[in-house]
Amino acid sequence: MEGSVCYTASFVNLSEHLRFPDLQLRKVSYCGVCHSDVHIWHRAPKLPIILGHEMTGTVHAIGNSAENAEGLSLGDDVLVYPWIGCEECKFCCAGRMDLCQRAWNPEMTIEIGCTRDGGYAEYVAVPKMKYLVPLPESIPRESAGMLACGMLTAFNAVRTAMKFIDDIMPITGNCGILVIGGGGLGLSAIKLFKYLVKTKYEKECQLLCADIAEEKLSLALEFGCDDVIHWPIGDSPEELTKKTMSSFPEGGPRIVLDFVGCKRTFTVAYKSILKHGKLINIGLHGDTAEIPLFDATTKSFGMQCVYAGTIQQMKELVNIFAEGKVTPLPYTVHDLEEALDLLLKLKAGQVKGRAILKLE
Amino acid sequence: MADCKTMKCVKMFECYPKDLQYITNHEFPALPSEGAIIKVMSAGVCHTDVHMWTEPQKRPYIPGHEIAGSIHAIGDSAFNPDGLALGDKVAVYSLLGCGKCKYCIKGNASWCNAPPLENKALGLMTNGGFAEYVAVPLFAFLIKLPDSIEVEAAGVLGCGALTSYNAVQHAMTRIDPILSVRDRCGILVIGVGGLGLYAIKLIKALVLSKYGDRVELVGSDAIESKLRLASDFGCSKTIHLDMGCSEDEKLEKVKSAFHEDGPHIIIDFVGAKQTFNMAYKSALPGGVIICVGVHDNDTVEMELPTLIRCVIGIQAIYVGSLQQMKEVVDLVASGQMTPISYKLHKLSEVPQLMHKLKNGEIEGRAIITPHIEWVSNDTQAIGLSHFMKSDHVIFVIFFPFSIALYHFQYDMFCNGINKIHDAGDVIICTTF
Repeated sequence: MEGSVCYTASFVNLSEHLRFPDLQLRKVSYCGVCHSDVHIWHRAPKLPIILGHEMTGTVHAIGNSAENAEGLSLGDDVLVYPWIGCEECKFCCAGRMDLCQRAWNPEMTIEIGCTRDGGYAEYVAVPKMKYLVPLPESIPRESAGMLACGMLTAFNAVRTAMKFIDDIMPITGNCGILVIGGGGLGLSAIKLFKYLVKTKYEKECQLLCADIAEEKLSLALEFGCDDVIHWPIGDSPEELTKKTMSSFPEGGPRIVLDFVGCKRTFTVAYKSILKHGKLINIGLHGDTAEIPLFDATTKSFGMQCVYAGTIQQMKELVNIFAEGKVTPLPYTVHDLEEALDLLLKLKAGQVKGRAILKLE
Repeated sequence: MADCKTMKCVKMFECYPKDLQYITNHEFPALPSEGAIIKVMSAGVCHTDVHMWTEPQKRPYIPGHEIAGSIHAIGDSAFNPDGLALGDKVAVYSLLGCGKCKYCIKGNASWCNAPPLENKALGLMTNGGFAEYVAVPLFAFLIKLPDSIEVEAAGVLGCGALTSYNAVQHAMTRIDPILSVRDRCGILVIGVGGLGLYAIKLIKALVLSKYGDRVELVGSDAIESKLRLASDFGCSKTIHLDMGCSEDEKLEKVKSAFHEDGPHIIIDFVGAKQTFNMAYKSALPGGVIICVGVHDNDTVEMELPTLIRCVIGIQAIYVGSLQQMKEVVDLVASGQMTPISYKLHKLSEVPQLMHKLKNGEIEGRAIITPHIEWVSNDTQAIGLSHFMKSDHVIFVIFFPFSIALYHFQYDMFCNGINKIHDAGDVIICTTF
């Protein structure tokens, strides 16, 4: 659906925003272009909308009744947590904004870059101080935005996988992991697996990546994969399943992270996964998936969906990056005017690494 | 008895609608060097047996995978650390894959990677318990039965109860995470047949006892008469999923039965397209759908983005492990779980029973007792253990044709009399 996406918002009138005493106004420095922006652009719950949810910037104005637990001041460098829920439901109150079901409600103004104006702009309003996380100096400003979305979601997925690995290891002594999709999230997951899992299970975990594009696979190898599997567009799910299974020492992967989420990736993931395997679904490409129940029970098949991440996880991620343990993905910096062009390129799978918009 | 060269059994030679064959002079099983031969005292008839009867596969074989009995012979190289002896009453863990890999020998057959044709599961791919004797390849698969469990109730623990226990254990891992973000956790059980009822009993004993009101247990079924037992065994509410209602109406019924407008944990013992659909449409964010039933081998569809946005989990369950079966035996021994109703039948009745089970004409569990000849077609001898804890009157009729049988019955009868006498029930018996 073609919408009128306003991406050249210029200076926002300050007085308007101070009507909402809790709002914080942030001067956006950089904002990442994420595939979710492509999805939101096509299924926009609310129009017009300013896209952009991977934002870093400086505190520009603080609302009168703002609760400032972190003790932030004007000019402080911060990372914005955009997955704001409705703040009223039980999930939000328990800190699980990722489970809030109202965030996508077009009647409401909630999630930044989705139902609330976001970061493809010079300024953005953030409803509560608690959604701002201070950025340590050791983290480069340009790429830090990824920690709020791409990296955060990947971190959530990897953490989910790690719980399964801990359950599986005592029984099998080995675990093959397949990352489907070598885009921003897939590559982020590989970097995180390398630091969080391969350091502990060097030989016992095999980390592989599958993608339709060979150039992405070379990055996957560079970032820590033991091997890669090329899934050419024309190949049938049966051919891909055979290829994938034979790439693993146990005859298949035990854990699969699907960062694409289309029929073909789901089918190959399901068919190649081993007994008691766990398929982690993240990619929102958007298809129906099928599970043959009898087969699924004989395989003891398990599946866990992951969406975004909690603010607690984002803080942990900031610490990991601050210590320099994991480095950001390669990225390119662009002017705001290139936003539409980048969205089109991203949709066609032509962006390597992350594209960042510079707003300063 | 130890020098038997032949035995009675029921064997499957051809698929449905051809009957299984009752054979009186089948070859006596060879003693596995690392295992044992069990004198079968009870073998449950399970819906999986009907499934195997109707699907094409390796035949002939003796069905019966829910086995309990006494140890008749022990293999020379059997590893017997607990010192089980001849005559000890045991339940048999019958699940095997290839039987040789590190998973199979530890009783984790559901992890075995061997192709399906190499599967050696007792009573499914190799000879099982619809026989007077059965060979068990690994001694570790024998679970000693404490005196508090009647051997004719024990066989069913290895399949139905075990599968439900596996499902409930998985459900239990999700409760604390859910209660950390919600006031209450809703559990919906779809299908309250044999397995569903076991699950309800287990949830009552292991979950409701711990969490009280914070966990809501709701049972549902398409057949209204089944809901009464669901209620008796622990459901705070039941839902009739009337075939006449639309899918939307059923969904509404499910959602409104819960305090939080829906269930967090759904255990589907039916496994049809419609039940799965209802499960994922009613599941609350962060919830889990546990798939146990496989109905008619349905393929279910779901919209991935919807599932992902709600952070749903799905877990398919396949029977259980040897360790889990031991835990089930302990639960029954301690009285935390009681068996569901069953009726005893002769070995020769198996062919007719298979037809009856296929047509849904059997209530509760049908259990074959190969060594109790006195059970006639007209007389239903009901397991004493079932009534140990109830106020029923029991009619017990004896046909003491042989000394061995007589002693067996006499022991059982005396045990029964003592227990019931303590509970104050009445027993009437006649001897011929």
